[in-house]
Amino acid sequence: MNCEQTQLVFSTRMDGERVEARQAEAAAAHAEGCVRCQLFARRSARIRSSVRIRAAEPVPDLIEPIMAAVARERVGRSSWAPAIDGRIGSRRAFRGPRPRHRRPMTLAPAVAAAIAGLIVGSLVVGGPWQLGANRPIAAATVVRNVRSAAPALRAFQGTYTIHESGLSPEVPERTLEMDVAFLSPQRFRLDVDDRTHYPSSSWTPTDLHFIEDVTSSYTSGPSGCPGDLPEGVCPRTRATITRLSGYSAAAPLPADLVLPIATFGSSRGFQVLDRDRIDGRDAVRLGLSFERAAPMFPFLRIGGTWRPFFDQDRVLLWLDATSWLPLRMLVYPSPSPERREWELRYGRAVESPDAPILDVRMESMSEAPPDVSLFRIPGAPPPVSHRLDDLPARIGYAPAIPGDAGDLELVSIVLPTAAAPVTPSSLLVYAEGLDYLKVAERRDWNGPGPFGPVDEVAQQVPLGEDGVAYYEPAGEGYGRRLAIHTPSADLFLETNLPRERLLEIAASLPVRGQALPSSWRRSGSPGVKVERIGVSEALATAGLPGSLPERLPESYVVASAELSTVGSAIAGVTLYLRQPDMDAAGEPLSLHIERDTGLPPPSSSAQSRIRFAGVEGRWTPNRSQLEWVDRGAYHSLQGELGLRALLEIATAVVGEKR
Amino acid sequence: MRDPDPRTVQRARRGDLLAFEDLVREFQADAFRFAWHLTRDRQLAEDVTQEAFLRAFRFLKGFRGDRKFGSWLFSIVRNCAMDSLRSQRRSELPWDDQLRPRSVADPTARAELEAALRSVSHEHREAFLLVEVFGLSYQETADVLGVAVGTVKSRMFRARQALCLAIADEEEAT
Repeated sequence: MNCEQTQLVFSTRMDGERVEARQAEAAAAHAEGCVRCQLFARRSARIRSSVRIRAAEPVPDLIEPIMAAVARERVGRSSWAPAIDGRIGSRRAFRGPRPRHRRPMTLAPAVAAAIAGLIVGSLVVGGPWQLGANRPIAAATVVRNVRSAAPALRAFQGTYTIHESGLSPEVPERTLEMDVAFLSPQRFRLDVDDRTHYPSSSWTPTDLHFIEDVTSSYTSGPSGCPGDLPEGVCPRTRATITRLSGYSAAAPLPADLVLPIATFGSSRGFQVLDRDRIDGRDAVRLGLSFERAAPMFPFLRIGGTWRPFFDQDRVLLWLDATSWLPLRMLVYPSPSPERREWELRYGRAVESPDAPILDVRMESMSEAPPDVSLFRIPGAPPPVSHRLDDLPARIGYAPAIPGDAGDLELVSIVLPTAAAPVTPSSLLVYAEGLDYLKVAERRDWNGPGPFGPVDEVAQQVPLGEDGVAYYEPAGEGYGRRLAIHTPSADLFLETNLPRERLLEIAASLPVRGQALPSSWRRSGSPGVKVERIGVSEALATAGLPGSLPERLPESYVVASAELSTVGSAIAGVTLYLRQPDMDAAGEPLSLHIERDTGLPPPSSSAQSRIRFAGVEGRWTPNRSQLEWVDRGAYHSLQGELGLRALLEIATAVVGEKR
Repeated sequence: MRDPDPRTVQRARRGDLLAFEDLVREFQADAFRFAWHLTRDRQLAEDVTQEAFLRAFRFLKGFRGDRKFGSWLFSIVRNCAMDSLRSQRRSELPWDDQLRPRSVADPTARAELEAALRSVSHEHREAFLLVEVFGLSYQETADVLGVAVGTVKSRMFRARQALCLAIADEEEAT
């Protein structure tokens, strides 16, 4: 190996890109006796260190002009469903489905050895916590108790201290105070007061205000701003947003700080560690990933500047053993090799897995009702209240009302003031304590997908005696969702109640849900047609037994399926797999199958071959994609899941075919 | 560069303006910096950033999830910057001393680097900025620049060679 080749290897490795082990060894051997190459390595490292001192061009805040231009642009455009011409290009790649959901912080492996290490590591390493010997209760009990506490909670006021470590070398530690208030129905307030002593006035303190008043919300605070910018560069942005329909909350409700109903919507993905005492209270200590606990940190997304977190960082959470209120949350860096790569990649200091990087601690709490004025949105017009009886005269129809809404009470009726193509014609909001249900209705919906933020590949579920509906688990900032299509109206329901309860309430609506019209289920691009088809038909077409859906691990089911055709020939079948009881599960997994005898050519530098269940496959970590060929069919299994879980599912699929 | 929460992107694709605003908030600093590096003109960089986000909103529904959102956005910023420079008929990119980054953490190192960067060709500098300053992978950089991954690899190597040479000159001079 000569100097040129050696330095190319150095350069490539420095950037975290893959280099064959053989080449790396040869380059190291050459450099050992070569002053030029040693100088190249040393100088390149010096260049890197001076670049990594982040350049501090004054950055203007352009949110307001950009959003004003976007708002002008959007007049007359859809606000919900993607247009049909966007579907085929973005979602239905011919050779296997597109990576719908990439892991945000997963990085290209540094070297071949690291790739092998990651794969082996993810296969053999289990959860990061040792289960305490005195495991007090089952995970399902936590879920049940948190759920049953929700409707009873009428009001809440809490104060918290937040300690954050590792924002930057200049500001290694920060202290913030936070107040959270809740008043039934559906009124929340969160204020963050930054108490940090910054080294200079060029730092913008993270002072935040967030108010949600049933269907309107208000956010105020500085936008994200690197701390090394001069004074005045990052002015506070102040965006007052009043929405007619509260379907999409960009800033998540701080409900989980009050009671973690979204976080513990299902008993998967967390561990009950032990019983503990904290501040004189009996508590249950739980362990979960940062990603899973995300709804408990709403303040990180409201605005201001916060340190970054890795999805798999570990969260220790203390819940009050009686009220199930969260008392303390500690975030520790994950000890995984992926975390080390993430640090290296983003030029962050290596952090010890034993030292907490975020500590949120409840200082005081009360269930006394806060003053109503606390939830008044500055500058918002007073809310207009409507009566159910007046609606037929105002909007020309009587909205569908659930016959069985249980203890939920109708708290708000919202009618849009201006017609928009995809807003509902009417919205009824029901609530009881922290529980809520929204029923939206649209009389002239023309598709192509279900009405409301429900995916085209959502699971079709039976509703009532002979009706159907389309179900979507919680996630994407929404609760559990259901779309119902009828010849005269389209309905959309959203709630934080359990799935079974949502289906019960939906079944009590005076409508009979029908399958989406066949013309809505087709899409296509030049040459390729994609059609939503029945699950059993899809399984038969793909040569898979009808028993597969019952045999998938981790409670996955085949939620829906699509058939791609080229001319009259079948090009492939895509199955969408979901865990119906798992909320915040993100996008479904997709299993694409088509007739072929070999894997397509390599498409990423970070691919590795893998053997499982007697077949040869290929793993592409940056796309979370597992591909294999079995019995003349090409399979691509893809989704936001680790290799271990994907392998379990793939093994079940291979096993079922035999 | 951190990728945004895919759920935010999906909501924005559905036309949710609040979600799109989240994306603007998260990426405006990087988009502006990249635009500034390309144009070396603060006002132009602001215009380019605004135009890029407007185009991003327009084309978001066609955004293919097989690329990172950040690299997709950067490719739009780059196109907008090129359009804008073309309309001003600037063939050579300016390098205005007054607009030099103002970091004070290590002025000597930064000044050296600024000088060294001037000795690197535009193509190489672009790849270098994306990888070293913005932390993009080779694949992502290739997506932004519309070139093969191998091209990024060689441009990075050539950029480093040129920078090492420039630094070597300065080391000898001091």
